[in-house]
Amino acid sequence: MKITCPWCGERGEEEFIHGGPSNVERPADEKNSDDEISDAQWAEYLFMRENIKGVSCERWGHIHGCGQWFNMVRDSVSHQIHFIYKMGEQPPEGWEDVNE
Amino acid sequence: MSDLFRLNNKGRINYDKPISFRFDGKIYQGYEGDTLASALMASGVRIVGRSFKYHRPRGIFSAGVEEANALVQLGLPPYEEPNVQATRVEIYQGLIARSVNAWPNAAHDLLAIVGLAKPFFVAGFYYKVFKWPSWKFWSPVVRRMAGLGTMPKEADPDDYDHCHAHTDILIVGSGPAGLAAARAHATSGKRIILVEQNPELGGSLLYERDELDGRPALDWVADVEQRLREMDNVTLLTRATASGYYDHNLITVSERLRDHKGPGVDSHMPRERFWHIRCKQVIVATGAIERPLVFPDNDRPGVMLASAVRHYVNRYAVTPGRKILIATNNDDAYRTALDLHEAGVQVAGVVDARSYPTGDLVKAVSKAGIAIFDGHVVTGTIGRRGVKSATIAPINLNDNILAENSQTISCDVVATSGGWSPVVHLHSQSGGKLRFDEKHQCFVPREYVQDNICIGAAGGTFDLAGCLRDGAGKVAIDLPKTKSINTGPLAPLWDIPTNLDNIRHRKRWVDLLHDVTASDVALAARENYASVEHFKRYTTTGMAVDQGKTSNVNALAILGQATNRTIPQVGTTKFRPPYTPITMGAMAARSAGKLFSPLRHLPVHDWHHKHGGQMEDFGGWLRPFCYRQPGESEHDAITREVLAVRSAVGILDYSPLGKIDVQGRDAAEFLNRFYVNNVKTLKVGRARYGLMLTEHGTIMDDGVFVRLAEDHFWLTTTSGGAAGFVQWLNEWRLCEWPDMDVVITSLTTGWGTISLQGPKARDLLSRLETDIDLSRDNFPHMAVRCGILEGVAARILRTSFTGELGFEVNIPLSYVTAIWQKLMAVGEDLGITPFGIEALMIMRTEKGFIHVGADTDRSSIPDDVGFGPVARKKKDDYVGKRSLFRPDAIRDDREAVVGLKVIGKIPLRIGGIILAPGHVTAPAPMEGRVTSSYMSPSLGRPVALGVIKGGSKRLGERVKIYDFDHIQEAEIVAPCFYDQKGERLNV
Ligand SMILES: [Zn+2]
Repeated sequence: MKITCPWCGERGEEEFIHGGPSNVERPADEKNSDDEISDAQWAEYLFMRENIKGVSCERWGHIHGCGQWFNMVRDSVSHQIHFIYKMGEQPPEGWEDVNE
Repeated sequence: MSDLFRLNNKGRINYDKPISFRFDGKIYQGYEGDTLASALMASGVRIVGRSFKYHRPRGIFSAGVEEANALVQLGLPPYEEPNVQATRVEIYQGLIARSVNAWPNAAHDLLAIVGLAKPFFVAGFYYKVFKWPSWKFWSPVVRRMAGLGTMPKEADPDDYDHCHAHTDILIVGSGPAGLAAARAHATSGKRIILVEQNPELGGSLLYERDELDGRPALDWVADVEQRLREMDNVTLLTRATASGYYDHNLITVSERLRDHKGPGVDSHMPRERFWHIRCKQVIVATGAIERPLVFPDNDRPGVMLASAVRHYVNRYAVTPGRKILIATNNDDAYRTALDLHEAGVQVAGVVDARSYPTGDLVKAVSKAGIAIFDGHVVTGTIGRRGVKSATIAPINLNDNILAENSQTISCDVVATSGGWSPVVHLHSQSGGKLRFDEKHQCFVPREYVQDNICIGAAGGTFDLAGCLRDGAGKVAIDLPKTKSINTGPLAPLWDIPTNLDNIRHRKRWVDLLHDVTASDVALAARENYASVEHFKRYTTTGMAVDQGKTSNVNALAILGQATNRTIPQVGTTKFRPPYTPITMGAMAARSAGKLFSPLRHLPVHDWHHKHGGQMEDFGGWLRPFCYRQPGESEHDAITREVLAVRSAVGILDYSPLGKIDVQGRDAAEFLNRFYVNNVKTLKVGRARYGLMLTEHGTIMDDGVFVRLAEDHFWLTTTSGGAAGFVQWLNEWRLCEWPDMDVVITSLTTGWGTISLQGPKARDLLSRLETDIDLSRDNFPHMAVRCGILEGVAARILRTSFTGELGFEVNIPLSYVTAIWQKLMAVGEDLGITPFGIEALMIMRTEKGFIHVGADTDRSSIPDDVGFGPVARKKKDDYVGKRSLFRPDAIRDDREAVVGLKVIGKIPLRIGGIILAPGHVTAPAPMEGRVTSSYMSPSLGRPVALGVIKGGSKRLGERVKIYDFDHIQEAEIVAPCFYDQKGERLNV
C-alpha cells in the first residue's frame, strides 16, 4: 500500500505500523476509580475488536518516518484508503457509506 | 553428434558462436541463442529427467516457464541452483547441469525401481500409507526416493539488489499486445516501464511465422524496439519477470542480470535486481500458455506441447523428432503441422477430436498433403525410452465413447494441444476476478479491482490483429496489417473416454511435475475432496515448481466431470506470487550474512576486543561475555571478575542500557501513568526502580527513573526494551493524551554508560576531575547528580545491579572511550577490573534482582516478582492497573519468583522443572521452573531463581527439580543470597 502521512506525504506501507481500530475508548480515562469499571467492561476494551470486513477507521503510526500517529478510513478488503485525518479529528461525514 | 536434430533454417541462433556444456557428465555443443533444452534436443537427448514420485523417464515438454519435466540441478558449488527449468536456461560456455531425482543419471536411473511401488503414491499418500508407524519414520525413505533437486550446501557468493521505481505505466510482456501498448503510450510522454521475461522482445512473435505489413513480424518488433530505446521516458527490462502483484499497484520484478553469462562472470555486478515498482497503471500482456491433451501414457519422452514444437523449430532451428504426430481439439495446432512441413520435418498426421474441422489452417494442412485424422484421439503411446508409435481411435464426442477400431501410427513425437489458458496470474493476484470463457474454454479476466487491464491473449484475445488492437487501446496509432485467418471452434476434451479395456488402466497424467494422474483426480473426488482448495492440497496438483501452469485447468475440468460440475462451478484456486520461482537471494538482497541482522557495537568496542573481551550477541549488541586473560579459562575469568567487583571495583560498558529523556510541564503526570510506582512524589535528584506494564497488567519492562528537575525526567530501560518503550510512550502521548505537554527523546545511542561497581567505586571516581560531590552523605544510594566530569557533561546515577556500591556514569557517546581509558589508568592500583555480562548476571542472581525476560515472561504481573503491594497500593490510574484486579491476576496460585537454595554442590539447570509435591521424578505435574542459575563465586555454592505456584507463600518447602538428566533438590527461600540487609549498597 501507499499511505499518505499527513506530515510527510505519500510513503510505502513498510514505514508504518497499524495500531488497530481508532474508536476504542479507554474506560479508565473516563472514570477515575477502578471499581466503577466492571470486569466485563474492561474485557470489552481489552479484547473485543470488530474485525471489520470492509470500511473501517484505524490508527496508523509513521514510526519509521516522522513518528506521528494519525487516523485512516480504509477498506480492509480492497485496501483502498478513503480518508486520512489527524488525531483528534473526526472522519468526514458519511464515511461508513463511502463504498456505496 | 551435436547438430543431429538441427534444421537448416536460421532461427534465432548464432551459428558463429558455438558453446560447449556438460549435462549428466557428457559434453555437448550448442550455440549462442540456445537454451539448455534446445541444445540438448539438438544433440538428440530425449530423457532429461525422472519424475517426482515414480522415476518415469521424462523428456522436454515445453519451451518456456511452463516446463514440467526438464528440471536440472544447475552449476557446481557454490553456484549451484536446484530445480531450474532447462527451457529457461540460456547456455554459456562451460555450463554444467545434471538431471534431478535420478541416480546415476536420467538415462539410466536405478531408482526407477520405485515405479514398482506405484500404489503407495496415490492421491493423499502422505496421509494414508505412512500412518504406521509414523510419518517421521517414513519421511527419510520417501524423501530419498521421491523429490527433485538437492539443496545447495554452501552460501551463495553472489550479490543481489533491491531496486525501487515509480512509473505511470508498467507493461508486462512484450508480445504483439505489449509492444503495441508500449508504442501507443510512449509518445504521451508518460513514464513507461516494459518488462519481458525473455532475453529478447517479441513474445509469441519469436516463434510464430506471422507477418506484419507483409514482412516477418520480427522486423516490426525490431522497429518498435529501436523507437522505444530512443525514448527517455521508456525503460525496457529484459530477462525480467513480474513475479507478484500487490496492493496499490505494487509489482515486484526479478531481473536476472548475468545468469546467461555463467557463474562468477561480471561478479562485480549483482546477479539479480529485485524491483519494487509502484505504478499508476498496469497493462498485463502476459500472453497465454497452451494446455496438453490428457491421454494414456502421455508422459513419455516425445509427448510435447504443439506450440513448443514450432517454438523449437522456428526459434531454435531444432526439431524434437523425425516424424511428428499432432493431437488437437482446435485449429491452432495445425500451425505446428505447417511449420514442420515448411522446415522439412515429416508430419505423421493431425489427430483432431473434432469431426470435419473447416478453418483456414486446416485447409492449408490438407492442401500440403498431410493426413488429417478428424474425429480421432490419441489413445496411447508406445516406447520404453520415448515415443516410438502412438495408437489412435475414433471418438464420439457427443456420447463420449471411443470406437474399437484403433490404429497404430509410427512417430517419435506427439505434439498435443488442448487449447490455451490466458496467463491471468498477475490479474488474479491483484484481486481481480475471473470468468470462464465457453468459446475458448479458459478462464479470462472479469472484474478489475486495481488500476490494471489485461490485453491480448492474457485478456482472452487470441488473434494477432486483436492483440495489436488491444495494445493500442484508445490511442490512435498506425497498426501493422495482418493476414486474417478463419478459425473453427475448439471442442472441449479434458480426458479421453475409458470404454476400451486395453487403455482403462494406463496412466493418464495430469500434473507431470508432481506425478498426478486422472485416476488420482477421480480418487480425490470419490473421497470427497471436491472443494478445489482441498483437492489441490490432497493431490498436490499444481503445487510444484511449475505451479500447474499446464495442468490446473485440465485438473479442474476432470474434477468437475467426476463430481458432475461445470468448470466455473468447480472454480479455481487462488493464484499466489511468485509467478515463476524467485531466488532467496533476490528477496534477501543485501540483508544477508553480516547484514541479515546487523549487530551494534559498543562505544569502546575496540578496547574490549583488544583486552580479551569475548564478544557475543546480547539483544542485538555485541557485548563482552567476559574478558579472558592469557591462559585463563572462561570460568576462571568470570570468577576473577565477580571477586574483583565484590572486593575492589569493576568497570562495565553499560551503554546499551535504554535511556529516555522526558521533559515538559506534564512530564510527571504523564510518566505516572506508566509506572506501578508513584512518579509524582519522586524528589528532584532522586531515583526509583520501577516496573512498566502493558494494558493487560503484564510486565513490559523495568528500569530506574530519575527526576533531574520538576519537569525533567531520565528513564532507563533494558537494552532490548528501549526502542519499544519509546514508541509505546509516543503512541499514548499522540493518540490518547495529545493535550499533555511532554517531549520524549531517546538517548540510548546518544549517551554512553560506564558502570563502576564495587566497594572502591567511589575512590576510583573521585580520582577524576569533577564538580560533583561524591561523598556518601551528599550522594546517597538511588540519587542522581548532573555536573562536569573531566570537562564533559555527565549524569551520574548511584544505582547497583550487583549489590555493591555503584555509579552509572552517563556521558555523551563520543567521550566514552576517553573516560574509560582514564578510569583504567587511574584505577590500576585499586584493582580496577573490566567485567562482562556473565559476571553481571551472576551477581544480580546472588542478589535476587530479576532480569525481565529471564525471570519473567509475557504473562508475569507485578505480584509475580514481589511488586504486588506497590502496584496495588498506588491510587492513581496507570496503564495496566485495572487488569491487576481481574480474577486471573488475583488468584493465589500464580507462578511467582522465589530463590532456590540448592541442596548439594551442582548448580540447577535453567529450565529445570519443579515437580508437584509428593512426586520424586517425572512425569509429574509441573509446579514451576528454574529461571536463573549459577555457581556463585562470592558464596562458593550454587544460587538460583525460579518461579513456582504460590511463590513466597511456600518459603521453607523442599522441592524436587527435574532437568531430563537429574533430579535435584532445593529449598524455597527468599530471592536474595548475598548481603540480605543491603548494607553494602549504603557505604
Ligand atoms: Zn510522517
